[in-house]
Amino acid sequence: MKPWIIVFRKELKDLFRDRRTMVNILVLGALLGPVLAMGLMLLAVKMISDEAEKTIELPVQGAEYAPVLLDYLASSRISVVAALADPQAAVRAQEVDAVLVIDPAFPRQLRDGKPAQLTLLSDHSRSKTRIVRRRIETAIENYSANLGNLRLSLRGVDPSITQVMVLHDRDLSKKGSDAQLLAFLPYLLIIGIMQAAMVVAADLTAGERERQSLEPLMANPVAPEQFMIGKLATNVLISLAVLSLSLLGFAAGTRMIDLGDTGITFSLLSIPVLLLFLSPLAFFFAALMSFVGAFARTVKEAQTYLGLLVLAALTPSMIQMMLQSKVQDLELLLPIWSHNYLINEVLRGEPLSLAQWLLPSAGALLAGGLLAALAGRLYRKPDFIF
Amino acid sequence: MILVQKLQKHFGAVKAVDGVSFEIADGCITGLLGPNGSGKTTTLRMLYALLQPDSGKVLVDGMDAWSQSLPAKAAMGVVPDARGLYPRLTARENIAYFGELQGISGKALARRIDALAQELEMQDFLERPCKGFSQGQRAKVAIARAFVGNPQNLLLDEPGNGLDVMSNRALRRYLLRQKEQGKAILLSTHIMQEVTALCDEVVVIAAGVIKAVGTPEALMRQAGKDNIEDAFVALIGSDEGIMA
Ligand SMILES: Nc1ncnc2c1ncn2[C@@H]1O[C@H](COP(=O)(O)OP(=O)(O)O)[C@@H](O)[C@H]1O
Ligand SMILES: [Mg+2]
Repeated sequence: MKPWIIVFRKELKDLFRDRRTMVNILVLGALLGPVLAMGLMLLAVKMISDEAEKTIELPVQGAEYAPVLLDYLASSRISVVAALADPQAAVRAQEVDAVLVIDPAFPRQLRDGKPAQLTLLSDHSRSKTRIVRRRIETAIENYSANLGNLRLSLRGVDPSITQVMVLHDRDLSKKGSDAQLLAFLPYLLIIGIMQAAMVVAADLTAGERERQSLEPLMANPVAPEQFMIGKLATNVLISLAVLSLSLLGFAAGTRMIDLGDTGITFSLLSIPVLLLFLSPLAFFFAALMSFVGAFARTVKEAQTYLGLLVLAALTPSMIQMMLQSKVQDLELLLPIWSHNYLINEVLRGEPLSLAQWLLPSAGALLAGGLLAALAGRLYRKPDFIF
Repeated sequence: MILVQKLQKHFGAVKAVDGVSFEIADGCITGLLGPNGSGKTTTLRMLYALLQPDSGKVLVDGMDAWSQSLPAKAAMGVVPDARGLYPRLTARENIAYFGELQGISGKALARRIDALAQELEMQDFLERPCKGFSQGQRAKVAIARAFVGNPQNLLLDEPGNGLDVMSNRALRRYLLRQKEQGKAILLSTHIMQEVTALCDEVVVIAAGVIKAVGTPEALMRQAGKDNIEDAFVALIGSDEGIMA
């Protein structure tokens, strides 16, 4: 048997004996992601449907100037409530989502056929009020358009003459795509793999030094690199197991909870595709964590270093989540950056092109191989062993 | 058999080992005797090729320890100063891991572990996880895993450290039997009783330099003393560090 396989089998056995580490890996790596994701999705779905369905309570200043408009709003499930003493302060304090202010000149302007003035107060920086605002605006625009059409008809003019163009809005995204909701999935998947790689690397490299078992181990007739390869293989296998578990978790989660009509599905077919696609990334993480973890003297110290490393490595994912920009050409070589983008494409149901398969994998394997070689060299350094 | 020729090793300004030569003969227990910090561990680490000598060389059954490190290591069993075990593995699994790395497996390995367990009196805890083992139990596992491949040369760095009387006696009996089988054994120590009880040949080292080589009796004669402790003090030229 090749020495690295002996090391690999021993490390697996050793890890599985360690309840705490395994729970750490499985709970944090495999379950937290899907649970968090489902929670966020449920919340998002609930917010959207709530805001779309429920009757909006709209304080109106000067309600007496526009009774007919307010009747029309009521039919669009916008119910008028009493005027406020200080509407601006109430909006700023988030006591109300929006306030409609009707100018005293409103009835006269309407009668004279002049644009009648209304003001809607709201806080544009609050995402929750966006849906409320849009519904009020739509209702008022509809009312305004109806009145305008009536005025034209009375003058014997076809109202459609004011409609110079009609823009049809067609959504071409594939089934199973709500970009907003899917944006954080790659992020959670990548956290899961990294978390697993970190816990395993801390135990396998720093743990061996902390227990003072490295020197007797290295006295065996085995090339030092074999130890590194065996430990790396253990790490990759556990990371992929965690990834499979969290993918299954996502798939089960999207089937268990009611996602309404958001159109999110998580095809079972995307699981093997993502596993294959993310294997080189798991190798890269394992090598990165093994290399950095080797500088720590104790498991605790290693976990501190590696925790910081996880945060640093997540930055590309976070930027991607916000920008949602397309990654192409040589950018595809960048591990994490390209993977984050392409996970989204797979989840959206897009097939990956050959370049999209090869370049990110080549980038991750190359960077991982370099780090693994550096880590392997450490195993020949006396300062590392003693 | 191991030949040590003019080994030198320095760490910064410290000359840890400075021109050390000696021989570890087959069928013989050689003691490397010296106070703390005299260069015993550094010398041993060059023997089992974890440290590269600045100059000089080590021949293990004719193979250069550094340039032919894999076959040379295969001919040596090593119990270093650090004796960390894997706490979640049983004593047997700890020994078996090293056994596989030393090239034995399957039934042969199991039989070999059983034999070692009997020789070192470790049947009581053989199947228990090593977490919480006493010093003596840990030392026995460390010795068993080092020699599970049945190497010709045995190297032990201060094996008596922290052992109780019973474990120490078991260890001594084991080493004496190995010697009878023709093994070449080196043990480093700073404890006089270990030397008188076990060693056929003593290499006295201080400050990285060899001060004397010979049987315990020859050393006492050379120093003109009638016990080995006084002889040792006389040979290294001070009593600093001996009682530590
Ligand atoms: N890795 C190292 N780095 C720096 N100095 C060392 C190192 N190992 C040993 N030394 C120094 O070399 C000398 C010999 O140490 P050592 O071989 O451990 O002695 P012994 O085992 O006889 O107690 C000591 O002065 C020690 O401080
Ligand atoms: Mg020492």
